[in-house]
Amino acid sequence: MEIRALRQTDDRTQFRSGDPDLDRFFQRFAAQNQYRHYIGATYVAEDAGRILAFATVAPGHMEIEALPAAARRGLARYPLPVLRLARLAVDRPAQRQGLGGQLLRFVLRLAERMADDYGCAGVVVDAKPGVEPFYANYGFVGLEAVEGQAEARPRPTPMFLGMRAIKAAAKR
Amino acid sequence: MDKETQISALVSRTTRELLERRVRATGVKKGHLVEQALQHYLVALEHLPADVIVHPRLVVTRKSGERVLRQLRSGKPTKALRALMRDGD
Repeated sequence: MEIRALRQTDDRTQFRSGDPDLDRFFQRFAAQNQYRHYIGATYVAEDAGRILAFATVAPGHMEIEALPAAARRGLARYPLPVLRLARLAVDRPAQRQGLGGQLLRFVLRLAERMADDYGCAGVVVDAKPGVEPFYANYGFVGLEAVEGQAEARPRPTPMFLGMRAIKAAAKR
Repeated sequence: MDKETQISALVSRTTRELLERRVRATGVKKGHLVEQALQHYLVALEHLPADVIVHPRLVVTRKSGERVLRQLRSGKPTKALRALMRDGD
């Protein structure tokens, strides 16, 4: 099994995660997103030509509404750069084999590289209802957004994991 | 205006009935309605629907912001996160 960037030639028509919104995105928009509009990148877990799972990420930044100056002490006075994990789904026959975790690890490593190369304070995931505990187990904390929330229905919950924890976890 | 040309397509009986009902109700020509519908459809395919766009800017409440700041200053990895990050090595 290999995790790599989505290719335009990848056959996405057979992918069924059980979530019609995620499947629709992957089949119809993932390549467009990546190769025409350049507004996000999709990585796939592939085995013998079959796509088993995918994760879509995009860079972003987070701002805190009305944060008093005292609380900002020690922090840069500009938005925090983050890597946004917008979508993650596993094909039905490949579910419950740890692929979601493997893709999450891949994304956290992307964020680490981003932090080293040009700055990243952490990862924001748009967690669909019901999957929050999966991310909470890895230390993601739920956020209440006032702007910039994903438009999907039902509304996902933005959750954040800071780079300090990611780096500490990756340390040997 | 472009020179007109003819297309032919097989559609379901229901679609044909809906088309004819619409033509009758609005008085527009069938060809005009079909052309408009096709153009709308083709333009829509070029655009990403709002729900697939990831907004680059996320603004969170002050309370959430405090959680973020705690994570940034002293966030420690959970056991599961340690295991996850070390698994692939």
